[in-house]
Amino acid sequence: MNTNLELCCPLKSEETMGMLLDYTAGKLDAPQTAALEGHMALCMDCCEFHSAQDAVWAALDCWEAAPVSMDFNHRLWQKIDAEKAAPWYSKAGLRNLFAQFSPSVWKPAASLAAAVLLVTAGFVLDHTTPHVNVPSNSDTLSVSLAEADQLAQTLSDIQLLHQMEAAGAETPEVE
Amino acid sequence: MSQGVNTFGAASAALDFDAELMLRVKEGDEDSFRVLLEKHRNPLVHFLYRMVQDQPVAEELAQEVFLRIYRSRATYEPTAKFTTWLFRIATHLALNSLRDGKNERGQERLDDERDGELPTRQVADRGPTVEQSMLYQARLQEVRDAIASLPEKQRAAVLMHKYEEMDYSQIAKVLECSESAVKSLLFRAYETLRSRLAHMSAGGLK
Ligand SMILES: [Zn+2]
Repeated sequence: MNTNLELCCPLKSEETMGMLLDYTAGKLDAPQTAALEGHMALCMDCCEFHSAQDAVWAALDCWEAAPVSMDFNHRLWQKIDAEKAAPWYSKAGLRNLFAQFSPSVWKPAASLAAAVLLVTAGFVLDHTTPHVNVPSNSDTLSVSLAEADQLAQTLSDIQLLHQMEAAGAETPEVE
Repeated sequence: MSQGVNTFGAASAALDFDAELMLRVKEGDEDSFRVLLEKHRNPLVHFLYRMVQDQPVAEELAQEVFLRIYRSRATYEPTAKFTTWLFRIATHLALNSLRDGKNERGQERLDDERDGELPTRQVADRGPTVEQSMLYQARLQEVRDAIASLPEKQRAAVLMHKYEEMDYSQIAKVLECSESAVKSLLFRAYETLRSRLAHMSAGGLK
């Protein structure tokens, strides 16, 4: 930590601001304390920071935690004994079973199992789905058939017209 | 100062002893687990209590922490400080509990607690006047509200820094982030606390 405080105010960067927190917490060693106190004698900002932080520190000190219940250990051992007595297939039993394997073992195993499952599912689906190309939209199909029908009818009409024209040309005028 | 304040410093110095105890637990020695439980129970419950501000929930979470430690005994390897591991599990459970809203009744319980609560420090003196007691309770409530107003990670960082006396590197290991991230969390948290609590003079609460 930088103790050259004549040149650098600890409030100027987060790295050095920790020094002021540590000073309030009484965690600085003697040379750091002396250097910081020397700086604070000249720096109003650091003085104000320390004063406010000291007040916060004292305020937090007043919050005492409640005592732990007398039966805490007893309740814990009851839970531990219940888990020991549980059959392996119970929730606790299974948890104990999995606890035997570290994450470095079961995480790759789980990934491998997922990959195998995916490949198997793909294989099964590939061999059970019939290969029929069904158009996705039946409206498209009906329109296409109608259009084809119409086209055939038109061609047929044109052919009939040609036949009539040919027949007319060959027929002598009736007076 | 709270019961838990100085216990963590002592626990840190005795790192090898904790790891040694846990290795004995791994070999089936339940008495070593009892020693670890006795040593870390109070700081752990106090940390969780300040996190969730609900004593029954805090104790329930602490029990779950010790259960998880016990369940993991077979695979335990002393790769990190025992206390880092302990507080990492505790923080994880506390954050989940806060997010799940398990301590919804926390505020109601706090109100119930406050009704019958007398500040032990002042009781030990000549006896507080009604006014002193009311003033103390009001200030205590301000402190609790200020801590509760902090975002969860900032709250965890402040509680570990202030009450468990952890250094930046250990808080970073517990929260699984960098030391500079911890410093940033702490500066923002203390900034909020200074804005809310700095009006309490340093001598005003003692
Ligand atoms: Zn300065």
